[in-house]
This record gives sequence, C-alpha cells and structure tokens, in this order.
Amino acid sequence: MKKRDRLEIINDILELVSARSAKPTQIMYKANLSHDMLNQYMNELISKQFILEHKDKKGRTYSLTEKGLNFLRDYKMIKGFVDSYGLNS
Amino acid sequence: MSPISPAWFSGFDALFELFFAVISLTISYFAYKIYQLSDQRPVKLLSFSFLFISLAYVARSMSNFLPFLDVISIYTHIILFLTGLSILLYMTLKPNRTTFWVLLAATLLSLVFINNTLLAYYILSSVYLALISWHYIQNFLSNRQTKTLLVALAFIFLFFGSFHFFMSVNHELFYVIGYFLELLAYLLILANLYLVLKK
Repeated sequence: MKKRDRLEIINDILELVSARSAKPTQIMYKANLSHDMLNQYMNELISKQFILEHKDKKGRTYSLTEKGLNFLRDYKMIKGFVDSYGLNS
Repeated sequence: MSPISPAWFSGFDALFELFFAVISLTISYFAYKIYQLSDQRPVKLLSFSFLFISLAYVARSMSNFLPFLDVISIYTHIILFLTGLSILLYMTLKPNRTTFWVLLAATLLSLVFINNTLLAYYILSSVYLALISWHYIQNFLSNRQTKTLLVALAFIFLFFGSFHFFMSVNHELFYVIGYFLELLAYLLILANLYLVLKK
C-alpha cells in the first residue's frame, strides 16, 4: 500500500470533519493515524484555520471553516501542482 | 568576456525574455493562489522564486530597450535570477541544508571576488540548475506522472539553455540555441500548469 503524503492526510482529515462534526477518536481511527500524529495535524489545521474546535460536556468536536471547504473543493488542483514540483514534505 | 549575440537576433532576445517573464509571473501567481488555499510553506517559496525569476527576465530585457542601462540591467538580472534559483535550491535540498548554505556562500564570494562576473554567473546558474534538475528527475522517478515529467524536462532544458549561454562566449549560434532551449522549457512549464488547472 502506497504511503500517504502530508497533503493526502490533510485531505482525509478534512473529508472526515466535513462529513459530520467528528470527534478526535473517530478521526484517528478512520484517518488511520497515531494519537501523536493526529494531535500534530489537528493543531496545524486549527492554527491555519482550516477547522474549528468545539468543546462541550461530551468532549471535543471539529467542524470545517470556509478555508477548509475551499481546500476540499480545490484539492485535486492543489495536489496536482504540489506533486508536479515535488513540494510534498 | 560576454556572450556573442548575432546581429539578426537582436531584439528577438528581448521578446523571448519578456515571454519568459510573463510565464514565470503566471506560475508565481498560481503558486501563490495554491499557497492561499493550502497554507503550505514550500508553495509560497516556489511562488517567490518564480517572482524573482520573472523580475530577472524583465531586468535583462530592459538592456535592449534602454541601452544606457545595460550594466545596471545585467547586474540586476544576475542578482534576481540567482536569488530565484537559490530559493528553488533551498527547497530542493531540504534534507541537506548545509550544501545549500555552502553553495550560497560560494555564490556570493564568487560574484564579489571573481573579476568576470558574467562568467561566474553562467557557471553558478548552470550548477544550480543541474542540482534543481536532479531533484525534479528524482521527483519524476518516485511519482511517474505526465506533470512531474513535464517539470523535470523543463528544468533539464533550462539547464542546457544556461549551459549554452556559457558556451556562447565562443560561438554566437549557442546564444540563439540557448534562447530556444529556454523557450521549450517555459512552454513545458506552461503545459504543466494547463494540466494542473484542467478540471
């Protein structure tokens, strides 16, 4: 199985968050990430304003921002450009 | 020691340079748009590198339109083009940043201390483009797609184009071949952009 790159992981997380307000454990299992990796990606996505974190009595959930929606909409183009110049870190 | 430009080609070279400037600026613009969508730092750096390269071509073409600015425009071109290539190289040598800093130090020292700045520039840009091309060849080998192939070929042509300018101190035909190789390179870069934007 081909190893996913950064952009693919971000896309997977954002798709899971867009499907419904997802909880961290659901994202972790469905995106196939370790706890540390998930925290790293979620912190990055929050700081870059792709997702919003909501805290209530039941715990944490996430939702997409407009920037996150734009990323999903234009993902194919972003991936094509990034891949062609080998910019995936 | 300067490149020999055939008389019949005079003026055409400026048009070529303006065309390269427009394509580089287009890539810079789209890279910035992609950066705004993805927030990925390497994409922002790519945008800046193509912006510097675009400005470098504008500076070089100025020497054709405003001959009294010849020396200034050549030096401005050298500084802007090498800055653009340095940023590209910085991105491509990610795991080996020491090599980048050594190359940058060598660039600055050679431009300051070597008497023939133009010769130093042609050698340095050829070395930079060879390293960048190698990165894009590896990128194609690890991700075999038309888009990665187009970019790899484009940088290989840019490298050979730069090498031909270096050779043009001996024969004027190399000067013209250099421009046509660069033209081919920028057309490939444009073709790649078309494939990326195609829905």
